[in-house]
Amino acid sequence: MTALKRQLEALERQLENQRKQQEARLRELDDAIEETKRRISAARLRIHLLERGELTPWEAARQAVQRMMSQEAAALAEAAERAPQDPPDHPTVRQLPPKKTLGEQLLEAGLISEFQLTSALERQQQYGGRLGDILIELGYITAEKLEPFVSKAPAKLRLGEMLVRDGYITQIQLEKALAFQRKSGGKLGDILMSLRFIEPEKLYRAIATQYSIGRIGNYVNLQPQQKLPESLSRKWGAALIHQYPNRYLVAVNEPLSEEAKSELERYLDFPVEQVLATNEEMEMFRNQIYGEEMLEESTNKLAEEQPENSASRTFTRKQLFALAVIILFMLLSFFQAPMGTLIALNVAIQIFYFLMTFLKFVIIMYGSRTGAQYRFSDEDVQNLDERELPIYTILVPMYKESEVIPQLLVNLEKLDYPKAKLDVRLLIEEDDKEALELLKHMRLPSYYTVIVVPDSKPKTKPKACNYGLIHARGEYVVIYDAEDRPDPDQLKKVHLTFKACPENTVCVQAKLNYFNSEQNLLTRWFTQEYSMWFELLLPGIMRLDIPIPLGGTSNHFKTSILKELNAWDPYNVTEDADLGIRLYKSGYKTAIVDSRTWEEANSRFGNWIRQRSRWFKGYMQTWLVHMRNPLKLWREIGTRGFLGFQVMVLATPVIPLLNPVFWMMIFLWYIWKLGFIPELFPGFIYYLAAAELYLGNFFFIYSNIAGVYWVINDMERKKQTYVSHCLVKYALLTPLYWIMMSMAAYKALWQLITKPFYWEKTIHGLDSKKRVSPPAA
Amino acid sequence: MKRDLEERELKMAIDRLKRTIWLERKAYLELHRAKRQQLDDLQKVLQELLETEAAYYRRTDLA
Repeated sequence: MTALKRQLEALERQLENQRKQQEARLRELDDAIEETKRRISAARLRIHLLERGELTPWEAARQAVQRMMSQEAAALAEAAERAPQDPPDHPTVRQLPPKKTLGEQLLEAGLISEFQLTSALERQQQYGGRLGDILIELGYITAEKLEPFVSKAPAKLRLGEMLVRDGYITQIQLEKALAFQRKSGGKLGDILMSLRFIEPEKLYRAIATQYSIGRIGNYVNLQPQQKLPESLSRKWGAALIHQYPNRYLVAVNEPLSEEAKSELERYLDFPVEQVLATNEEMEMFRNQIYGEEMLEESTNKLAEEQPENSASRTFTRKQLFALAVIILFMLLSFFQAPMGTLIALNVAIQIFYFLMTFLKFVIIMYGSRTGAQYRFSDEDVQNLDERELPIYTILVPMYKESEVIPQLLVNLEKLDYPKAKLDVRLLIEEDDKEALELLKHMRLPSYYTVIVVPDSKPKTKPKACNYGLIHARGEYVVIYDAEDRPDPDQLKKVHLTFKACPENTVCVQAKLNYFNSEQNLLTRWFTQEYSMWFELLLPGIMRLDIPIPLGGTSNHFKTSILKELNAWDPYNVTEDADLGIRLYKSGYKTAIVDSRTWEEANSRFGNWIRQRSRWFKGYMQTWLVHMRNPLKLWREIGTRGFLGFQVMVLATPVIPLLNPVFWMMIFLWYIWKLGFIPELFPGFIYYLAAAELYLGNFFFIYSNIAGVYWVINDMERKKQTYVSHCLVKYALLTPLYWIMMSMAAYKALWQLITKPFYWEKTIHGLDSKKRVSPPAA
Repeated sequence: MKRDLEERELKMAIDRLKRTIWLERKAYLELHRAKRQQLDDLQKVLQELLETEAAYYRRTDLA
């Protein structure tokens, strides 16, 4: 009998040992697999860069090493310089040999059994918390017996000292991080993570120890029925993740203050235990717990709170009625007096053409003056005290663009801004499995967060941006497209612009241009058009103080105001242009900064038509939304604003719609000399139309050339040769580009009626592999 | 009688444990083989990628 019992115990021990050994071996294999995956993704990234031929790994490596060396040299020099003055500030901390864990100590003292420790650890693994508390809760040990083993930490160590003491970082790494902190400000933990001196999990474990709270567990099984209201969760930065019989377990990104904790406990009417979670973990919990609320907010908040500003309804009844009345009136007039009606219509169109052309000319003239955009020299940027720079959120919405992700990371890494103050949020749609898979295997720096936007209608970029904005940490926020290459000093220049502008300037638009202008005829035309738009037209609008239809990317906002305005309209397919108008209506201003973002110009006809038709459709939506009550709009934005709105938002899609009619007339006149055509241009209308034909077309072509020259001159002044003079001659072929614009405008009109919210996806990454790199700033 | 019953239960428990040990070991071996295979496959992919990368270096005379 005893022998049988002994055999049973031996077998139990054998099973336990076997499990431990197997677990260890499998863990080793898992680690090796993870490491190999990481190396594969790194190798793929390097090969991808090599294939694109614009940045060889040698260049990348050289740049990275140089940057690191210069940073390290600066940091070390600074640290050395300060070291004699500051010894008491941060004394050298001696690294301790690895100390025994609490569990090991209790086991050795015979206070708990191995089984008890294992079950407590399992529980800790699941939800987190402090081991001692769990052992007490399970009844394996009393608080009195535990007390001698728990370090009281009478004098709370500084984080850096603690990390060095416990061997997480070296003294040199701490000195470097502190040197960065002295130069750029920010939290030490963020700096250590941005320099990749420590993994987030380890840092947060250390912070948890510092504050005598627990870390979050690895296998949290959320119970969605128990949750804090979303607004309160946002206020306290906490997420309720589990309920124990005697307390709630609450995940926090930063330890709660005593006041906040007691407020939370009063609200829940139950004690609360905090467990510390990394940014990424918090984001995951928020997504799981509040995904539906966040989705609802990002989709419908604007439509619910300000229905008058939402494009969720394309036409109002009044608008449909007015349209019907106009059409009916014209039909009746046409049957009564066909020629008279056509002449009257033509007169109205010619006056519209003339007014729009003239006003555009005026805007461009103003745009060409100095002071129409905010300019800062390299010295201004260098003299900027980095400690005053706030946290900057960068939103990067993407959909099925995984091939540009490696390049995106390279471009964002080039930004000259303290990395510890960046909050990069990659917004990936739920069904974009390829991008999610790729990002899972890339060890992104700690300031990146991958946000999975739940799959829902409308599936638009603004909805994704709204979703990403909800928990944005930055004081400023900017949107970049995945293929964008912002000038490295752009964020700093924007900060300087905000400082130089009045308080009501809440948006700064950087200028957009194309890095693949020389790829083909289409990209050349597109570059000319963009150069005119961003170099002359938008600065002119800023100077004249009329509403600015913002560009799709590189618009920088003050986050709090953007949230106050309910951010982007998810139902508008040019949400950027619409937001520019809404900002103006609310009394806020937009400034243009002399900094460029280089984008990829559409190089394929079909792709270009898709993109342009979306833009035109969006402008039509924007015009319909804000013209629901024209008188109210007039009162809100004044006569100048109202006229500017018509020039920028109405004329942009309407002129390409009208053009083919008049081209057809010219064609018919020259071929068949149809007699009714001259009758449509009586008296001065003929001269007006002729002036528009010759002078207007000349002006539009000339303004495109002027825009390109503007860019070339600017680049030459900065000793950069990127946009070529060769581009200029292609401006003579611009009328062919206008034909394409008309095709896109008709497609847009058709889609406005049939599928107004449909987002025509533009495919990126079509530029040729061998191309010139954008200029280094 | 009672002693016999206890003895029988003990023997059954021993048998169950032996079976558990055997089953867990079998499952472990299978899992280990699958993971090993996955690692081998990944290492092959990595090797190919490294060769591709090296070829680029050779081609562009950068090595």
